[in-house]
Amino acid sequence: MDPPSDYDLAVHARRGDAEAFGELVRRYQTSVFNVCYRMMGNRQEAEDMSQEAFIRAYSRLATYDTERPFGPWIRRVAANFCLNRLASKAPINMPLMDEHETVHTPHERNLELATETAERARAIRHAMADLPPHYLAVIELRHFQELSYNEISYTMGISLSQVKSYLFRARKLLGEALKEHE
Amino acid sequence: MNEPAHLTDDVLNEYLDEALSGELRATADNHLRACMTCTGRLAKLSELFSMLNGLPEVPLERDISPHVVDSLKSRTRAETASLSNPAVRLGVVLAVEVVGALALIGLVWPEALDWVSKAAGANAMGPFTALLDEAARISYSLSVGQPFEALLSSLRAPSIPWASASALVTLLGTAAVAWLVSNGILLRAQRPTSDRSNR
Ligand SMILES: [Zn+2]
Repeated sequence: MDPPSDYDLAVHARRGDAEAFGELVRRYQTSVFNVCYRMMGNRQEAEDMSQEAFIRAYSRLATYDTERPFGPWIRRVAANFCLNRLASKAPINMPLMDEHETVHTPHERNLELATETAERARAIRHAMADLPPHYLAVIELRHFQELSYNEISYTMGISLSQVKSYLFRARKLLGEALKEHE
Repeated sequence: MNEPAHLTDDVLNEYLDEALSGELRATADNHLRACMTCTGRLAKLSELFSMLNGLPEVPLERDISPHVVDSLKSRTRAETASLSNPAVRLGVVLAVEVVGALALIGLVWPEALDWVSKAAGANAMGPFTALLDEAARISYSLSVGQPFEALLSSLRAPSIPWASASALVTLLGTAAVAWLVSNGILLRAQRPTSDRSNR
């Protein structure tokens, strides 16, 4: 028997089937965790936020259009959730608690390249962690969730011109931070 | 010939985001073909794009689904017994309305309260027997030839003194307002809570 589709699981979850929702969590937890990790900047907080994002998403299933793919929806919910958390915090930046990037290139020949990649990833995460929450959110939605300007505007509830100015200024800040790092 | 102005940062960003309309994109392409400065700026921005897009995903070290499912289940259990459950709230509001209605009836019509207390007491048939007594009295009066007019005036209607008649109007008004308010609460509860942050 084929495993149930996301659609079936979402329909069951909507009717109050927590186990069906649990299966959706298993399918999307890694990508949701990565959204939270990019936005919160540390693993432990990202794990907690992922759990809370799923719990929040469950109570909002009524707003989810089951005809559309579940992955993009849950990632948008997670991004918004992290944005709200970051925006409600004091404007001090959380320290990056774990600095190690896990890189899956165990082959010896790739070791040098792997170190370089990890180094670069660390620099990018550092630079992202220094962005104001709304700038970080547009970077997340544009570069990692690949939403259009219009979709970002709709998801975040901000105007199109705000989307552009946040995004362009965020890129400027990131560019400067990464140049400093080099 | 005038040197055209360099492309703005906004145009460069929109160029890479593929958000420029066909005409603007063609203009930008023309400029880029002729201008090394802007080509260099575009390359720099494009490098940032590829750095971001190349950021690796990290693995999640434990399965969080059991925790999520557990907290959803315990939340459901808590909600079943709490006022946030619409069914529970409906029950509470209805119960309050019934009690309120009974209290109002009792206030304006003390005899009704007697009936209720009799009905609830040992003589559960009280009101019914009272009716039977009354019927028996009427049939007796008729059988002994009392004039019909005298009989009508002797009927024991529930007495509402004038003092409580004005109280009755006030109380009915209050009850109507309470009814509207409580139904308003129920209707509001049925509307899904909307949150701008997640549309
Ligand atoms: Zn130029």
